[in-house]
Amino acid sequence: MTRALVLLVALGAPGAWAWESACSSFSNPAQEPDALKASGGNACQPNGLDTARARWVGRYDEHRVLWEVTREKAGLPVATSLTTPLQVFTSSQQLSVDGGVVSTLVPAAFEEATRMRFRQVTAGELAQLPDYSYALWDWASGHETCPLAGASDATDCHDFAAHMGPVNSNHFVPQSRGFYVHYHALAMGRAAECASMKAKVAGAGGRFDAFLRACEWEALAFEAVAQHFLQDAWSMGHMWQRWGSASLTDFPGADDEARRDRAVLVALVSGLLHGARSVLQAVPAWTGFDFNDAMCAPWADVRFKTPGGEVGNGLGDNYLQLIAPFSVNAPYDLQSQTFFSCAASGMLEVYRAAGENHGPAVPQAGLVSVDPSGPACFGQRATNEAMARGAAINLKVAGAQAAIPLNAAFVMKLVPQVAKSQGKVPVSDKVRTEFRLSLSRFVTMTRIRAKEEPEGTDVADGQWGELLGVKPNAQYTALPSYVDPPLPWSATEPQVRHLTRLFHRAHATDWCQAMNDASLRALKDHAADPLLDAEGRAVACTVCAELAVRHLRVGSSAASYDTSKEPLCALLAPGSTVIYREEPGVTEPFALASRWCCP
Amino acid sequence: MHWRVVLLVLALTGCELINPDPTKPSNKPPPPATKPDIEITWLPSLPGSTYKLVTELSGGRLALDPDTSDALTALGFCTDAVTTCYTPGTFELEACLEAVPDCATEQPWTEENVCCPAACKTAFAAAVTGGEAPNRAFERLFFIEPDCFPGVRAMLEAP
Repeated sequence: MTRALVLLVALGAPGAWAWESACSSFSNPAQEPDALKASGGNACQPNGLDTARARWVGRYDEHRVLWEVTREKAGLPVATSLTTPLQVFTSSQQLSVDGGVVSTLVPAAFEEATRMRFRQVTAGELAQLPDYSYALWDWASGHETCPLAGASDATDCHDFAAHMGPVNSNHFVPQSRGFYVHYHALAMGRAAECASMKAKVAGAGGRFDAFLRACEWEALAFEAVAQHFLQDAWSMGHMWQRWGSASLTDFPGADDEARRDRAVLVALVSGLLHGARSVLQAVPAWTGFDFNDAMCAPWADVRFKTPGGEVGNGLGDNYLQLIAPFSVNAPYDLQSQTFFSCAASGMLEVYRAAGENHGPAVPQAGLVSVDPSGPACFGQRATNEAMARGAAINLKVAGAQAAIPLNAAFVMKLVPQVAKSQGKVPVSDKVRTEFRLSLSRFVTMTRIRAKEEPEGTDVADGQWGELLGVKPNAQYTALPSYVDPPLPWSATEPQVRHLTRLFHRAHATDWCQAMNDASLRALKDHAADPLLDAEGRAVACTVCAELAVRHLRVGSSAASYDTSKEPLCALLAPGSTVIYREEPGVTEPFALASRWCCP
Repeated sequence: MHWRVVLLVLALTGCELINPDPTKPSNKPPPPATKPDIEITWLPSLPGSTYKLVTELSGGRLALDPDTSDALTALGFCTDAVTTCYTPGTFELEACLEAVPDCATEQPWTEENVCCPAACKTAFAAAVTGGEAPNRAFERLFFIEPDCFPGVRAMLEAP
């Protein structure tokens, strides 16, 4: 935690290395993003507890903006972009952070819930999730544990600069493709469940549309996470094989500390090559400079090549506004057009598979349909010339362009330092020697290849060596243990429990199957617990009614009930537990369920 | 008068007249200038040290020690001189390497000017003659198996 605070003072809040993400706290977080932006807001602390409790909206929320433009191009209804209050039932636990106290967001077992929170969020905000969370389940559980093997403290663990940056090789091609494929498959799998649910409730006259929309929203949430990796694949600074893995345990080193040290040093170098504006611009001594650092900033020779041989200019984080549709800028049209075709194709695939429950999709004319996980969407690579341009710190001083070349002579004088309890200290002489030689090798071969074949992509393809014994990312293909588990889910997995409890309406079928007479009775008994405080009892009644109504038939028995109000679970999971309830003058199932739970 | 014209042509075209194949550009580049300064003008100083800050995150930092002088810095100056000179089709890697003066001592980092060890030049020429791609030979000899460069192996094997 100390390191995170030191960072904040020293560097401000550095952005992620990709299109940017933004996190802010607002006085009224229930507003829509445009209204939030207009109202200002305070930047989040970099710790995980803060980022899980704030809106991911701000000046540089480029990932969210890309999602919204994609949605417009794909023609999904505006309703899919509205702020959604996700209802989560929790315990009363309080957590300490930075001298303050926050409430837990971990979804509790329904029969133990004593507090109810609302997570205000748009699906588009979750396109920023991989910059703040290790997985959707991690966000769903409030960032209250550290999912990263080899790290421990939950708050520090979610600090991008301390831990998430060192393992963000999965935001670079081609590793990013594996993560897109995984999350897109989750989105499609959930979408298929939504379609199944839609078919089962088709005769209910729209009584369960809220459940269908909740299901579709969850599918879009997974697609938003997926699209982060697709979006990054089209950020110019990410079109190369950054060294490393998304798992700390894959880095060489005798112990966790040594592995983390190498991951940090590799991340520092990767950030310089990627384009370091978001980090360097915030250094107090440099705030007077303009870091138009390649490969994110516009440079004539910063270009990428597609598998089909097309070459176009590319931009990256902080410069999104310079490409279409935000600007007219022809050199970047290949980047813009191809990206949006990929992104809209992926989004449409999910939305259509889910059943278009927020309204029909009406894609914009001219949209090209492509396989979002295919080479057209993940095969682009920075040219050798672009990589050579990236091997420098580019800045403007009083309007004059300057550059600090990262050539071999410069690299050989570097002193890598890593954070320890006593502050930042130089690495051992042996590691420093290895670092200097391996990085010199890379920058030297990059210069050579840029001269030999400027439009080649072998440097970006990782053909010129390791850094500190860390291989280019294509050589680490296994997904880390912290990702959201693949479908079908096992209800016993803790990560799955966080998701199915938070998205309890989306998972109505699962809950219909899981609940039985005893578990419904447990909800009712919990609501009657005399030890609960007033808020706890109110929440217990709410959660009981929320679930009981899904099983409640208005009537007295199987032979006598209102068949026009068949409950959700009878449709989704025939044979599941049924409650019969009738009261004079009360015909609404929810009212009856509430009375059953809390007479 | 005639000789003045010849000299002028020579001066303007380099060694064109002694190029055995006039259809190909000259392959003998000029030697590098004196040891170049690395660009540190815009790097802020780290408080309490002579180091400069290059980049930083909470987990670590890249600093630069302008005073570092050892086998690796000498290797860096040597390879930079070659890659700066290298112009495919005009000045090839081998010619550029040859154009860098030989190191006069076994401690190249103490020498005033940029130099490359004669052993590296010999090994490079042999590798290329043997069929190894020039860029791969350069990578191998200077960065993967840098035994031709005095002092590097000792640094790599130091505890």
